[in-house]
Amino acid sequence: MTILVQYFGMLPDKLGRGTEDFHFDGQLTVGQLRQSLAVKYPVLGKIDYKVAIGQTVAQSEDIIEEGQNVAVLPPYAGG
Amino acid sequence: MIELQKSYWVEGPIESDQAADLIAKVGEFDQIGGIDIFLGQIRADAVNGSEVTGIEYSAHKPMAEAAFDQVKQNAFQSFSDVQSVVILHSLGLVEVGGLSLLVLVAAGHRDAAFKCCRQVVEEIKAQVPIWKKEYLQEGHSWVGDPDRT
Repeated sequence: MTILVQYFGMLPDKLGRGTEDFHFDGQLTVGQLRQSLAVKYPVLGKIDYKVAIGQTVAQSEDIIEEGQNVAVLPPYAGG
Repeated sequence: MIELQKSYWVEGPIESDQAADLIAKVGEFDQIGGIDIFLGQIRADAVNGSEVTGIEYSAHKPMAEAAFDQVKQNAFQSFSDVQSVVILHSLGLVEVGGLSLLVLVAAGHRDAAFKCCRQVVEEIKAQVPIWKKEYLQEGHSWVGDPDRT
């Protein structure tokens, strides 16, 4: 299955891209996506980021469905 | 509850006229006795030995708008005397000295206005997905970047 991952804040600068398609076989959890991201982008190991599915911050055990939009959100800095 | 705003976002700096317009609007409601306003202004910090000249704001807009809604809901639940909460936040570039955040709380009395305004500002900083890219005299730097020295 394919999911669209969108990077926010400093991440497009750090990773060299703002969005990316990820392809997986079988069921995918947020924790598994985090593991894939850690392998592909070691710099993420230094950043305390959140993962949102649609518009909701997700937990590691949450399942990502085919076609869902996923957002990777570094620490907030509004104001 | 009195709704005084149509959008949370301002492209570029928030102008002082916008604050003045809000104050005038609040004046139309005679149950309001205390108004507290917080204004966030861009400061010329030194970063990596270079001075900040401006900040560019970006956001996950749908999530940020839902978070702003929640912050306002929390405000009304926490302070029954609060009649209106206005939040304006900049997107895009705001130069040093410009305003990037306005929070206005209108209440029956000052105590709720003061306390609620503080709560709203702190919750915005902690809960709303907005990011800052600081432009420096030389280069730029992201607030929260772990590689920043």
